[in-house]
Amino acid sequence: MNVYMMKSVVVSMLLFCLSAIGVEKVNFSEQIRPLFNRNCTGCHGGVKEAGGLSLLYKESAYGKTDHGIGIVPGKPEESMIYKVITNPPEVFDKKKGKMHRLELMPMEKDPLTKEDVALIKRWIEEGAPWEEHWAYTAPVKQSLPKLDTDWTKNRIDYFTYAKMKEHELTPARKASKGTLLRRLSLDLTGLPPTLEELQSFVNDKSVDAYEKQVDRLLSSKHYGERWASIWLDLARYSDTQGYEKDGERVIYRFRDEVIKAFNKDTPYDQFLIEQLAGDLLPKATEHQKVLTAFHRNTMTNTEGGTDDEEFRVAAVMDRVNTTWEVFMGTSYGCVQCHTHPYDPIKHDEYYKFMAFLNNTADSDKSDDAPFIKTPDMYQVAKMKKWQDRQAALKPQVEAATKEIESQFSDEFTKLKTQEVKVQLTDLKFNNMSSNKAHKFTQTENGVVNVAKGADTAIYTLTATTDLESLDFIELEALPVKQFKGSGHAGNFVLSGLSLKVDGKAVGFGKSEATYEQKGFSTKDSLNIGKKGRGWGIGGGTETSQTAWFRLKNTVKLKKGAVLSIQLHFKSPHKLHTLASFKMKAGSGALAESDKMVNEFRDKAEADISDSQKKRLVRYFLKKSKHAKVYNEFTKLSETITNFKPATTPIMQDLPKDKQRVTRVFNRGSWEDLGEVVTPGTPEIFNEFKEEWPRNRLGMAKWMTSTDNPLVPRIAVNRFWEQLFGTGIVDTLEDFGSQGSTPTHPKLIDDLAYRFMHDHNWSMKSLLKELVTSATYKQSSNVTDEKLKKDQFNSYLARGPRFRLSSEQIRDQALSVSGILSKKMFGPSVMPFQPEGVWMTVYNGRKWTLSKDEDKHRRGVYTFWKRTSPYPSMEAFDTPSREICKTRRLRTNTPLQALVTLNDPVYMECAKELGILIKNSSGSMEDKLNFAIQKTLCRSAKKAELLTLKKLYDETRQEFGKSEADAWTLVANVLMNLDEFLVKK
Amino acid sequence: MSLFKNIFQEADEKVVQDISRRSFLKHSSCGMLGSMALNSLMAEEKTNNIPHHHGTAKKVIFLHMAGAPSQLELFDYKPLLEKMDGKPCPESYLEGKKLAFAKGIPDMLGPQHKFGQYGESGTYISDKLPHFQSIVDEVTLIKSMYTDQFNHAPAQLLMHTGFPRLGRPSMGSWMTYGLGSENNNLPSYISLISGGKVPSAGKSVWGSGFLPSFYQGVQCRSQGEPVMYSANPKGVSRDLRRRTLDAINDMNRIQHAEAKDPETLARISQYEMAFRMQMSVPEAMDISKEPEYIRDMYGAEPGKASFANNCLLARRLIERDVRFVQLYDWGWDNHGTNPNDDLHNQLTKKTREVDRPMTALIKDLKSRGMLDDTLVVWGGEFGRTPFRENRGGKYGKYVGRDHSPGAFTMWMAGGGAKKGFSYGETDEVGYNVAQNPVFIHDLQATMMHMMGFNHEKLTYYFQGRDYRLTDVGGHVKKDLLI
Repeated sequence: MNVYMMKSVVVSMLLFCLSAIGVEKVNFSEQIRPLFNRNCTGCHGGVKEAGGLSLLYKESAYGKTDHGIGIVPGKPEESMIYKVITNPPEVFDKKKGKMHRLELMPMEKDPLTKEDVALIKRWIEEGAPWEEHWAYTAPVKQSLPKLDTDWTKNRIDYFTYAKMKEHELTPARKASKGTLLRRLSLDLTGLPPTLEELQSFVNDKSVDAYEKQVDRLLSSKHYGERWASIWLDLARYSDTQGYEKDGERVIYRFRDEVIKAFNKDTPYDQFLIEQLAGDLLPKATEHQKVLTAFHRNTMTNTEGGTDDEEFRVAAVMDRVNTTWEVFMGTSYGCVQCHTHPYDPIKHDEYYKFMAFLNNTADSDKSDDAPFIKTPDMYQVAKMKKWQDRQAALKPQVEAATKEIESQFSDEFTKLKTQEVKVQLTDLKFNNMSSNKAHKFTQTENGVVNVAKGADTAIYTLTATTDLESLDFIELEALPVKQFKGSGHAGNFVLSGLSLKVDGKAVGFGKSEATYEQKGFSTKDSLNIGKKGRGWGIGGGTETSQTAWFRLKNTVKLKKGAVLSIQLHFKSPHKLHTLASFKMKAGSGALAESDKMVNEFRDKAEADISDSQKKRLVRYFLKKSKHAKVYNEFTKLSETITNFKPATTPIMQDLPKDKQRVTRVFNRGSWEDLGEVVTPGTPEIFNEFKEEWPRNRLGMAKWMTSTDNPLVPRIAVNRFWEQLFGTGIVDTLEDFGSQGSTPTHPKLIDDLAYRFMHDHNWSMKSLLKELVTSATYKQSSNVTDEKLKKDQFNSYLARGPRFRLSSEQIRDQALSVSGILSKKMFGPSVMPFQPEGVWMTVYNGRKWTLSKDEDKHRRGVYTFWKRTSPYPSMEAFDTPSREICKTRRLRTNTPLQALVTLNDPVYMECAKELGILIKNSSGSMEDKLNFAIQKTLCRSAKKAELLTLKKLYDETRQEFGKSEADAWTLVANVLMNLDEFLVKK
Repeated sequence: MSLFKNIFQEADEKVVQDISRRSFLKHSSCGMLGSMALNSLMAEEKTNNIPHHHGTAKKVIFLHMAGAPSQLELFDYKPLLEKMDGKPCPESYLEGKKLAFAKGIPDMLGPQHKFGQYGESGTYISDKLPHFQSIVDEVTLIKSMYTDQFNHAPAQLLMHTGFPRLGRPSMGSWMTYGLGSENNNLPSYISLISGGKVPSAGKSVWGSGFLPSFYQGVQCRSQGEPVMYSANPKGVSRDLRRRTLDAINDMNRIQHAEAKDPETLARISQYEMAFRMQMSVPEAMDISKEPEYIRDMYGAEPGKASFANNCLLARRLIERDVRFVQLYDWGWDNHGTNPNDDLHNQLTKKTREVDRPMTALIKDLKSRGMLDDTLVVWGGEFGRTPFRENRGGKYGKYVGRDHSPGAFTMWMAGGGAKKGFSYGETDEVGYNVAQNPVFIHDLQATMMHMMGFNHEKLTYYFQGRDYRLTDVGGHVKKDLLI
């Protein structure tokens, strides 16, 4: 667009003013560099160096070009750059072999104005002093401007007041107490004040009443939630992996730890180190490791046929770009393909920096490995509850077990004589065959023995039965005493079981066994297609084991019905076939007691193995008077064993011998590799000290070193932007020469310096300074005249007024209607969203409305899906978080109106607020006043009362609605007011 | 009273236009210039000619067949491929190729459906597109499309945003950003989906990227509420909603009188726009209002989320001056792993679903005189291989083809595109482009050209540089134009 035109307007205005004053020396950074960048660096910069001249680097600008020295300090007439903008000389053209006149610069653009040319001339005459870009030298503490005012409250105000004066503006009056507390609460905690909080502040007449509120809000646990919301955009946090499949990713613990870090006011430098290299810190804590998930929020591509290396590289590049954009306000992505066109960062320096981040173990795997398993606080609490209960029950269970063991013989005898409710017959096979070379024999008591065969087999067995109906098949696998020579392994995998009754296939339902090897369950035996899976008894082969397969439905049998059974043994392991077994057909419901009786009826106590005895003891316990305690105990044990803690993907370095070599990618393509590079930082910035390791930790230390020019500036600017609406540098993402120039250059440097040295990187301390300034406390009301002079409030002669963020809008609505859940942390939640929003190509995950208070949690806890973000928050400009976004735009669209007018979430809030209004005491006017105080933190105006009362009356009388409905609509109106949707 | 209201409304509309313009100017540049610079900028803009030249098209309907339909069964007739059917693929074709699922040396696969020549132009068209055969003299076939992405999501992103990764504005956003809206009651960029699934790349294919979200496509749904949250809550009638809006506006005006923030006026306008949309969107989206013979022509049935309904809706929206309508239809990824993704059952089903409505759309637009300035574009995100897919090195029961970025066919009609014309050629088996290649950026540049833009000049400053739809490429293919 017309950015260039716009800039030229400013710059010429600026130049005009300065030349009119005409006393100060020409300032390179403010006057000359912008002029170069606008007119020259397109061809004489980082990408192109036409005529052998680059105006980005001092050496090149002052050195030899194709046609003479670029800049000769003090001598404009000898400087080539001056000659070509005034009177281009004739030069010798080597190609054509003759003299020709150079073109007037800038080529194919409007010539420079007289003022510009004069400025360049003056600058060269003054010795052409070169300065690096303002943001590339470390900030220093500034001296305060001398002012004649008592308006100032702290250092900030000196700088803003001076700027106002420069632009003939005066500060606005201080905002009212109500407005101020609402502003402060929304800024620091993201929530509006309650009526009680408002009351207590208004009534507090002490001098430090405001400061007390600041301290209260900064120590609120909701402070962390508010600032984490902002951080999550930078961290591109999402509960899904992105790309086409966009499957779920469990990484909510990162969000929770960010909230905690803000709440405990981790110093910013430490916060940065922990997120980029927490895993490399000595004795890294779980908190520090989880914070490294900052860079595991990159996308993972799990689509079929994708090259993991391609997407691993894409993720690493995203980490490089994000690191630079978030912490150093530099559009480093440009340097991926070529030397930065406008800023002095070279092509290979991109890859040197990438080398810091190129050695983590993650590699675009669909499970997001590596991760750590760390339960969240709810899981920890749950686990503790289980374990405590388990410990409490343990002595009782032990005593009960002893008691039962002492009565074992009695119990065993009792068991054997117990009546069985099922009918069970041994299957005597009249036909037994295998598709491999197995030989079958069956003994009198029904035991089938199978002689030597092959690794895999299908046994087909046929028998007749006189049962009247069939409910289940029992298979008892007998131990093979000497399996080595038997042609069978001791274990087997029953990969399939099928049954035909009189030639008709019959389906199975549930199945169980006395013992199942882990991962080899009887359930899989019923899924014949699944090779290598099915019932196995590894670890339990020393005794016989029995499985029961129940039919889906009872099958009525004709007399002498023919049962044809197939047993499949398909396993990658050798000889995993069944050597000795017994089968029975049964009818009736098969209770556990039946199974036990059947199993042991014919056995003597002496023949019982230890494991069988244990099983029997457990069974007797369940039948004993101790059953309740025992059952609870076993259920708890199972729950504890099966518990899966949250797994959070983290950064983890590859072992030394597996480290990757990083190469330059020619023109940014990962398939076109150039020279090898080692980890390093761009030359233009602070030095990389010897004592720092050349890894991520060293990189983070370089960034947080007090001579890093960018990190502190970017940080204070971000806090400033959150409070005032626009940064001191309004391009939060770009502090380079193409970014905006600061509105208050001295202020940002002073703040950046003192953030490190006075505030010791404490974010709460910095925020306190910002919100206690007189600048912050101004009323945001503006006059026409002021608006004309400073439409965008660049010079801060009034307080901030801008639309709230999507999270604040949601939280505020829930809060004023009294239904906001204050619950913190844990898995992301799914508040109401319309049907049919989630339509994902492959993944089966569904949006399931969260239960109870989880429906009403703060916005920061909402489940975030990159390809289909929560629609009402998306409408209010929450980015999709596929890549980092350092600045949210604040749009104003009709779709937003539809959200707050009609979204059932907001209607629920309106209804609840309506009830609060209806139930408040006093007259109609009192109720309306209550409503306005609750939502807008001020008392109602006469005209407003009339408007709302009119709506109420019309709704009741003309539309015949109930009292409750009328109040709901009044609440709906209040929650859609511009004043409600903005911070002012 | 009503007169008074109208004056207010008009004033508000003016404000909203200024505000939306202002908000992106503010964010795209220094933002501290004050109204003086802003005014001079806007004056500047008028002389800077946006649009850059007189475009032949004013509106676009973009029909995206997500999954990538096979050019070899539909448009690109290859007699030699028929002869090679079943023979192993010559290795020269496979060298240096990246494939999504095919393994080893697969067998060549002849066209699975018959072709015939149609129209005065004698264009070859599959017998799976019997309706489309009747309009070949209205369209331009581009047989030499190619891309450099072979997975759905990146390829769809490239097609719609000019870049294979996320974060860039979509075509419709660029065009509405450049041309603004012609209708105050409807969003100027609307997307409609059918086939039961969103595109692989998600909503980014109609997203506004770094452009203000004002320019993103609004998804209108043909089931449920057309625009999310547009239905009034239960018990709130339109009249009652009007009263609440009056109350909101009155209160906002009181606030504005005190605080003087221009955004407050913008909000009043946006609430009014929302109120109008609550009426106009359901009205525009209600195809039961169409005469039966029109619905029959498209094969549209009210209440269904079908491609046929969406084609008819596209015409209704274009008729109401919506600038850019984008249709997504899922189900064209014919790998041949099961009957729901093969070249017989599934392709037959899909062609049956789209053939009639897309033909009806062209005929309908033409009979209403709307085809002249409406550009209709149809196609997938890449092509399909001339050999049969052998996933895991084996052939199954069903027949399919793998992803193939090397060549595919798209067609366009109206808006200044040639009629009865075929552009570009592929090699003898339809695997790669042989003549007149058209890269995705070329297609985009050409579409922009037809809309009156120089694709190199419609740019937006972001993260240190100017971005454009066609990234760093794109050539206008003037041969495609009348």
